[in-house]
Amino acid sequence: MSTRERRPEERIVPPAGGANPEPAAISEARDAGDAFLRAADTAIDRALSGTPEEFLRQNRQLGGQ
Amino acid sequence: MKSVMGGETEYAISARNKSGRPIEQGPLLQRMLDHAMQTLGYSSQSSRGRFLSNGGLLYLDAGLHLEWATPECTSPFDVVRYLKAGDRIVHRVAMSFKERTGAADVFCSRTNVDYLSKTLWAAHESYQHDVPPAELPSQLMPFLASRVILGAGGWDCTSPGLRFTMSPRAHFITRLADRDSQHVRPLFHTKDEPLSRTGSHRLHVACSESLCSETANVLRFGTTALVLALLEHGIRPAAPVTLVSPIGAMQHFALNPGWRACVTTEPRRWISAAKIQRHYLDLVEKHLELLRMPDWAERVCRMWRGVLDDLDADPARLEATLDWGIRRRLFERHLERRGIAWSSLRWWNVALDRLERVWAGASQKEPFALRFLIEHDPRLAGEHLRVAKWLANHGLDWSQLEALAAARDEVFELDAKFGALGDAGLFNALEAAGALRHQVGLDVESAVTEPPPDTRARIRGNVVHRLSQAGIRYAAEWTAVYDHKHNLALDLNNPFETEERWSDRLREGDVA
Repeated sequence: MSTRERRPEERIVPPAGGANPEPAAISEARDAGDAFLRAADTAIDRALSGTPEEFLRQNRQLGGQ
Repeated sequence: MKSVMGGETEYAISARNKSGRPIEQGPLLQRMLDHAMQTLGYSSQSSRGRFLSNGGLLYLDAGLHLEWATPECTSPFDVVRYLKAGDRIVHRVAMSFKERTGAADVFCSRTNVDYLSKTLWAAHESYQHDVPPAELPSQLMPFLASRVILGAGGWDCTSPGLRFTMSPRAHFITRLADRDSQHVRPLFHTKDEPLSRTGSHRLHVACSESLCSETANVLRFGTTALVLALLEHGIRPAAPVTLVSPIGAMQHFALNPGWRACVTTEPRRWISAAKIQRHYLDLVEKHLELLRMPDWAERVCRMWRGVLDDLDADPARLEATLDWGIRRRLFERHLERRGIAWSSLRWWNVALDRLERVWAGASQKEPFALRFLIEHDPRLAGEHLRVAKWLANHGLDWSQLEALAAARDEVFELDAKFGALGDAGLFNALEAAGALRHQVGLDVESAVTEPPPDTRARIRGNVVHRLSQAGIRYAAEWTAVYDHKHNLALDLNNPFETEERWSDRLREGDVA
């Protein structure tokens, strides 16, 4: 197989909506991103057991491929 | 176009008893299934599973997992409704099992990868169709290979480092096509078990993972059904996008979510996963009116186009919508908090791949592990020093490896909990916090008990419920129900059966 991948520096893709997106759209995207990060921090802190190897061992599954 | 489709979910389930000891998987699952049958109230004779009043099937699969198969549906929105209904059913069973048995902990997850044993599970799909089966592989392979853009996301199990992939399963695909999906991992599964006697066929797709995002799931089923509809009408879309190496392409696309990774086609040209998907989408949209596509087709095409536009503009736009986008952002956030830049993973992976090759080249008996580096195993001393200089060029050094190894275990734990059912699930937590944009507006709760109104699942669901309520022993299959008390058989060979057609039962499997 012949595979070539274009690295980001080889191909610059302009953002949708033109080179100057609306300030309101940028602000909205930033707010959504911040909200995601806040939710992610809380969810991660709650999810981690502190002993990940033990968790993975205790929940090891038989079967699968 | 009227045909049925359905999906399956395999669940990872583990539990600890009152003393905190893990309960062995086999006995645990059988006890949980028995508990489910008692609490859900079904009198079927099968020891491995039960059809429920919503027409779906809860059972223990051959690989020792609790599995949910949706009833037959006519729209991808309904399939996703019933997949989510299955999650609620399994979660409620698990919680009532925990309460009744006093188990210390019961963990259920829509699993894709076990990172310790490096094993994977697929989320299977079924589509009824009338295309000659021999024509399917060549027409569908480019579509399926590029469909990784809807993948679950996760970590490449074959990597000694931390290599994010849109589709963990893609790296385990070893054959283009095969009839066996249990012992072999084909891109195209050639099994044709129609589960009907109407002359139609069943496409069984086994190359993708379980998804949490409603948008991703609707697109997974909807786009595949629409492409099949094109083929049913004699349109053959694959010629301009035929891949020289579909498996290599799929794996390359999976590792490069933000890039324009290209493969050669015949005739040779460069093309991306998104471009292949657009090719199929353009043809579907062109034939929407002509082929009288189903009423959900336009909405699915809009969603499909929206995802492709976002992928082309900036993949980060999908970080609250598709599973791989959500996972990627979550993992990136956690690694940031551990002082590890996402951009550094690329260099770590190159270094660790190199060390693994050297280890394997020296025919070491044990498989390569990061602890050999952390513990300064003398067998790696020379290469360790050489690679150290290379790492330094990228602002990294071996003293940071221990932190990376610890973070690696943590992101594996986060991945295992991503699709966990109930409050334990990371996806559910993000959704509850209003941080996601994946919902398509589904009424899931009614799907827990009510069957789809427009397929044979309605009759099956009503009959098994009625027989169970009456305490009558019966057996049920996708194509029939057998009333043991009255020695009668119900014919469900037609996926669109609308009436109960009972006949004297000759023997099981002998419904004309």
